[in-house]
Amino acid sequence: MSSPIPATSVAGEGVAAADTPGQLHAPRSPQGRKKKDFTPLWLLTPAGLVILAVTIVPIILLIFISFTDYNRRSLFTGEFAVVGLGQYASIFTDVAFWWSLVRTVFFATALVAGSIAIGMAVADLLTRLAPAMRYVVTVVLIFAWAVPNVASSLVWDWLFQPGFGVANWLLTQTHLFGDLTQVNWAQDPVLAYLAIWLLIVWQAVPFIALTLYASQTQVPSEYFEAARLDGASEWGIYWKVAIHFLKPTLLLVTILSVIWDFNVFNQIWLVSQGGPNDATATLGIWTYKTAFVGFHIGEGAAIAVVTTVLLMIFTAYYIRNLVRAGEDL
Amino acid sequence: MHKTRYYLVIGAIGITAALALSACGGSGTGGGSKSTDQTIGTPDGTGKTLTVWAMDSDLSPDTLDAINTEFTKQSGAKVKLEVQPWADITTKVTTALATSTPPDVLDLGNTQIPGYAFNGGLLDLTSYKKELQQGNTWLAGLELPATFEGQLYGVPSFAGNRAVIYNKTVWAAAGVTEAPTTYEALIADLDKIKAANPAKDFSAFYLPGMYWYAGMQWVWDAGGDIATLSNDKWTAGLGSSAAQQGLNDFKTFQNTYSSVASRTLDMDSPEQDKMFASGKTAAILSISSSIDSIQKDNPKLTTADLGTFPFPGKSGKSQPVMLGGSDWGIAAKSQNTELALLWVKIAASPDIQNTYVFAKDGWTPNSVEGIKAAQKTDLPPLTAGFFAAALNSKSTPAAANWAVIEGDLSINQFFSSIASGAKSPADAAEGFDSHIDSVLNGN
Repeated sequence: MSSPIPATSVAGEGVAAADTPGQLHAPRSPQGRKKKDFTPLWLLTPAGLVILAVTIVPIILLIFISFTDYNRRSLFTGEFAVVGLGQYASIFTDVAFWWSLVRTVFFATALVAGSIAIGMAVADLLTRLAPAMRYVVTVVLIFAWAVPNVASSLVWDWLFQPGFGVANWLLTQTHLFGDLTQVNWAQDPVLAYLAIWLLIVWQAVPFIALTLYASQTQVPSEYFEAARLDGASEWGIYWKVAIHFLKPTLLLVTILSVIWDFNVFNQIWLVSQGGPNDATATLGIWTYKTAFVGFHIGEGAAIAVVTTVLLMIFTAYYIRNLVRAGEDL
Repeated sequence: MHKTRYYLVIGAIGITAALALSACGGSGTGGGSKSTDQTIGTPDGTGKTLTVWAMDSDLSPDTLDAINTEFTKQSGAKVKLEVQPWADITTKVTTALATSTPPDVLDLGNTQIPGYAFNGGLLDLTSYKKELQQGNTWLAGLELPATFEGQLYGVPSFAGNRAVIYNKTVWAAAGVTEAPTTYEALIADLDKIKAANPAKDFSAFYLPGMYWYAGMQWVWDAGGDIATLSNDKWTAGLGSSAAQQGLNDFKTFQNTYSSVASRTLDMDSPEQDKMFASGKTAAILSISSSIDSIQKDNPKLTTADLGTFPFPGKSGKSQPVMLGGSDWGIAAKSQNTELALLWVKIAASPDIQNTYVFAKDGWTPNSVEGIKAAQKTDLPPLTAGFFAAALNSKSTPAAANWAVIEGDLSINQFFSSIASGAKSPADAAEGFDSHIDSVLNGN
């Protein structure tokens, strides 16, 4: 019953195609052959060369070194041997690796959860502030963000220094925790994590808050008005309406936070040097000690490769979601 | 196994460069003859700049100035002096030596030289040794660590060791007027000082828990050691009963006379000199240059207020001290080796050693003759304590990988975990001994 119609339409298409071969192909192909447009390539070349030199070449070198026994002696003599997967084997059989991995996962989770939660709260706060106060909060956020993390880590050292630290003195004045003036935060496993967590979250919040705030201001206000008219609570509006629109941005800042917090090094090294007794020795610290203190550079490179693969696995789900969200738009 | 042999190429370039440099370098090596003793001469350095890395709180700026002035006068070259902090220094020096434009001359801690020498980062100075010695006999504690497989890689700069610096005025106020000569007398004196100064943040003797140079003095005094070498194998010794005795005594002393906060701190944060200068303590174990920095921090403390004495040991002798000090090394990849040699020769010269290193900075000079000359002068009372302490000295294991133990801070953590009570001396030693074994015997 339906066979004649498709047959006709196919025939029709065939005829149309046969009638206008030039119209379908002529405008494109001769032009493309004659004058291939290289402008985008030229425009990308400077940035591309920089990325090639400072990112791609070092990564290839890193992967190559991870298959060698490159060490301190190799730095001076250039002499090294290819050892295949030997470095990887020694990493996976090293208890220190598994412990640093556990510490890293635990600490990165705490950092990401803390910075995202506080960042969301600050972003929402910004939408509710009067303009003057909003500028003040924004400037304060940018100041915290602008401090180089080496400088902020040194300031942290002084704030929490036993005997002289302002933080210790203030906490003692509250009479809530007893006398803390003699406490060395950096050398107590729990307090060291707490101090470093505060430091990293403090500097991570501004980026997350400002990005989410920018995203939140793009949500059409009609949705909030409609929800309010329907009698929804402010809490409910945030979770049902705002979060819906923030999702793509949230996913992006979460992925970035996971990557940054997984690799955090400066703050830990400068505050606790991985101590006490390796309690805060995350993968970053372990890599540094292996590659740049013991100068087992081959092994250090292998740890870096393993860390990258782990990060890709941890973030694969989010990246897939992000890509899908992009397709929907 | 496939060996990559880039080093042949690098070696060839190095030889070519060395030949080229010596060819244009004035008096040079006498037509490339293979004589074992080479001369440094007076290279013409007009328009050139020599980069020197000096360590923070080693030689004073005055002394370095004097060396630089003499060097510029002789060669016409300029000096770019860079003062480096101690934090992460082994990492920094290793990476710097590996670059194609390293600093030419480096101030290296005597315990760190074997590592750099073993790996080929430093220039072999053996053929210049006679000229660099300038007729003197260098101190063994500085020359031996700088000698690797019979070749010389460093020129002794100065020696230093630790002694007790105390505040005579505070001690006298507590009824102690004479420096103690036995461990028991020291304990009795510190008890009096502690009783007379009950403030919570005051330490009768400020001894940071991570201060391993100090902690090792108890271990050595009890007859223990970090590690010993036999049949080319290092064996860590902190678990031995002698070392354990020393560690327990260290813990008791530290916990009794130093503040609670100090148990997990290192000597540089906060600086113990500043603690002393600000009156938070009346005694520290430190190097001679501390006297100067204490008086700079608190000019009210005159020389009459201060005293020094060797730390008395339980053994009846003074506690063995770590013979610290520095050597000057020249980077193997330096582009200015001739100028670098001249600079180092001036730095090691009797004139600089006697007039500046000893007389101005209060360090022990680099040679036996220098010490004799110093002893002929009336030793200032504050210097006498350091010279007396130096008579009984020890050193860290002369292993190529020793610098790793200092660099990864495991030895600081070891003493701190004992002082804080986080681990018993036995538990701490068990973990640390196996770390020492694996690092010193590794490659």
